[in-house]
Amino acid sequence: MKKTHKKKILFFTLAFLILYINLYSQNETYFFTIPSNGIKVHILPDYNLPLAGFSIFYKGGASEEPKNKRGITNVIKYLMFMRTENLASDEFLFFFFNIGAKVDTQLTEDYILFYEVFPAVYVNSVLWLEQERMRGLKFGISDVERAKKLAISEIKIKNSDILSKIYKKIDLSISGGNNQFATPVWGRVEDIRTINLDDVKNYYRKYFTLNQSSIIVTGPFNSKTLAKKIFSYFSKIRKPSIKPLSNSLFLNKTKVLFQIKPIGKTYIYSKVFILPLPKTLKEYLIYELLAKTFSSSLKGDIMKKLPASSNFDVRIRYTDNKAIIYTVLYSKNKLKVFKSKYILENTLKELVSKRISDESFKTLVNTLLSNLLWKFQYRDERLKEIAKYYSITNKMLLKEQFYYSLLRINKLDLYREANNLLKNRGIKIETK
Amino acid sequence: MRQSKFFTAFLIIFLFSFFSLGKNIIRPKYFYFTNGFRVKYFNISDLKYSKVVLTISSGEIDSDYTFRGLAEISIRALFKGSKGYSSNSVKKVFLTNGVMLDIKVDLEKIEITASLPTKNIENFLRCLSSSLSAPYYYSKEINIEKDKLKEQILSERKNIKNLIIKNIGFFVLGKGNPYSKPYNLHFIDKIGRKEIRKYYENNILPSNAEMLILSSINPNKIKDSLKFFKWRKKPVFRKNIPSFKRGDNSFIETKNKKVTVSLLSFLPGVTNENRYAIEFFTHLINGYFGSRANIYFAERGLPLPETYLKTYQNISFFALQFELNDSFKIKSFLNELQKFKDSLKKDFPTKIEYNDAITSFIGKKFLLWQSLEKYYKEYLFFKNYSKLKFFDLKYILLKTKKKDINKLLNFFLKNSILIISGNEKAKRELKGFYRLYSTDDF
Repeated sequence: MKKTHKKKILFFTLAFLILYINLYSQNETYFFTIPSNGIKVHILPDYNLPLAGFSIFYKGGASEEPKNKRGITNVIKYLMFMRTENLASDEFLFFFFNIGAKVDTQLTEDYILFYEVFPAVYVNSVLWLEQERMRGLKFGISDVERAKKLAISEIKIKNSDILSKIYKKIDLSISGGNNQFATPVWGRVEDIRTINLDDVKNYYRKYFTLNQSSIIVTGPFNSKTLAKKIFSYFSKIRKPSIKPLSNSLFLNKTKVLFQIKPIGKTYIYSKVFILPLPKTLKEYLIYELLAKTFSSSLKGDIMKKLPASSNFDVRIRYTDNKAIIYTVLYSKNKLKVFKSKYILENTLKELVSKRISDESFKTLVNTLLSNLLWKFQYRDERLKEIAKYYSITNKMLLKEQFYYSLLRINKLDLYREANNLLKNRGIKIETK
Repeated sequence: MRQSKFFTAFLIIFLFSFFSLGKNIIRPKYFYFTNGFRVKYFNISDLKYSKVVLTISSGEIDSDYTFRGLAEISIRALFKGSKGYSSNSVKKVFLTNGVMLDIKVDLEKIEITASLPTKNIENFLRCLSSSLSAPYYYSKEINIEKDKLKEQILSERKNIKNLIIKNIGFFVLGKGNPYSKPYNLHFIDKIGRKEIRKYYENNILPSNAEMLILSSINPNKIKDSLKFFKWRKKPVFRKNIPSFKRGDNSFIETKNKKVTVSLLSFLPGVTNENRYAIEFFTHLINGYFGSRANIYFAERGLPLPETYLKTYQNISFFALQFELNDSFKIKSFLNELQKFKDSLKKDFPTKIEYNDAITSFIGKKFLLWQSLEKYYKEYLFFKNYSKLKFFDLKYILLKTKKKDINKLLNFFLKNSILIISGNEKAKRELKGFYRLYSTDDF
């Protein structure tokens, strides 16, 4: 081969490699902080559909609310869709309704997430709208009153649910009284009624600040181009920053057994485990597996042995530097609750005494894997799951990461954590 | 010199095709079986959540009975044991492999969608092929499924709007048409193993079924797991569908104080030509924030309607349902409803309505297509496997002109009927105008 040809081949190969690496790097996740205001930006490209998901994560949720003002974050949640300097009331929402998008919020103790899923062609408009409301809301007395009404009607609907009532009782027991932890995140009607314009303004200024916020975007975007766009829209916003939030301790664990009155005719038996926050993805997934172990065992036994009027709920709550696993059994038949509590105790014994079969373990792992993968196919569910993990670890949860981490967990990991965390622990709450 | 120019041109073309064309066309692989079964496989690199969709082009209209339920029980009891798998082991395969199974049975087809981690797809396919090729149909399992369906029907009676939707064909077309089969508890009681086997042998057939697989597993491995060749070959006989006639306005007596008003109608079936026209028409009526019905009823302080649309090959059913508070008088509400129908005759859709409906329709479709199997089945198939772009769908929708919408509107208005439900007081108010039913009839 001639020398000139060799050079050309070398040149094209190099050009091809540079192009490939460049294109590949633009499909990678991208993170940066806007220096002028401290907003953290995470870009997670996803090319399977021309659909984008945009979310704003504010650290500091309902747990920061002052005493007797429980529900103020919920009121601000509604105000976030109302007036700003350049937007009329509800204009923000109408834009998303008109483009057939999905808009929603997720309020927890530790954070509040505002998210939208929309066709990616509207990304510029969405960036403008979001920077507009991050720049600052412009609300008056009438707006606050309207937001209060909306928050109260939401609470009334949520409080009518039997599980809400049960969890309220459990939280009241384990927290030892009237504090943030004992109140549901959406607040109390009597407190919301007393909230005035100044309360809202002060709280909004203090907690909805830019250095507490993160932007998480997913969609068919070139990371670098989108990063430039986000920077140009959001770097102009300058608002006073405050020191990072510090979580205070709410849980007042003094007893291990609480006896409560039945809720109407519903009897409950609950065991609550208060654990340290998971530090790694592996630990996080093991916690989720522990909860799955309880729910799958209860599901199987309740379906088989206790078909009528009995039910259960298992959930994990990550808050206040703790992970709390709730296992709840409830029924209108007192005897059935009494009988079924042994299912819970047996599951616990099986876990700590290493008696779970290989097949059951495989089922647990695959069920959790399937649940997470199911959530990750929807942009909104994915953003919610990412926000949850982000609030615990300050890291992004990527599909590839959880997939491989979960598959690496073995039965011994589960036993070890169960022995470390659950053995001889758990607060019992039962109806007399 | 000439050689190097040729080489450069070749490389540019190669790079261009690699980065642009290759990304926009998705090519499936086909597996054909001698018994007529077809499998379409999309090998999507790095897909961790696989989807398997089995569509059987046979539904409740193909059963020999005047009531619904046989197809539904036949398919649900199918996964309760087969050759090589006891009833418990099928359940175990699904559980241990993290399979989320969704079974939908309608009048024309049965659709089974499985979502599962990619690494487990082979185990699942083996079990699925055994269930379809050689099901055992244990009587005990059939009875469990019958009880579940009966329980479901009884719980639907509590929500009258659901009951009407479930039996929409019956109300819209009246008795005697395969598309008007209602549910009936006594009929479900009578279904036995014999009837189910007969339905399976005549309808759940390989030549009547098609499978779509989305996964990242090597195609050869997928092919090896597809053991459908044992599925017995048999021709499928289609029944003749008589012409469609409009049913009567009816009243359903309930114990509930609340009155519901359902405006039901039928529209033409869906073809490739009018694929999105019918959906778009119903979206224009009540599918988005600024739609005609939403604005009309909100402005007058009246209850807002809920929409239902079900499309088939031969017919589509459309419903607008309202729930009235105690403060509304039925007759005055019916007058308002008539005025709303009259308003549709005047200028529908306006230019603003048309443009707004297009953008919101696209957004809603995109949200729906996040379930990858829906995107591949619905859009990609239609667009010859070229990847979705925002403006593609817009151009498709722009092909639906105002005259097409008006044609559908006339069809809708001409065939619309009213189904009102309420207690005895409401019945007295509407005496003499309606055919009477009670919830126990379904």
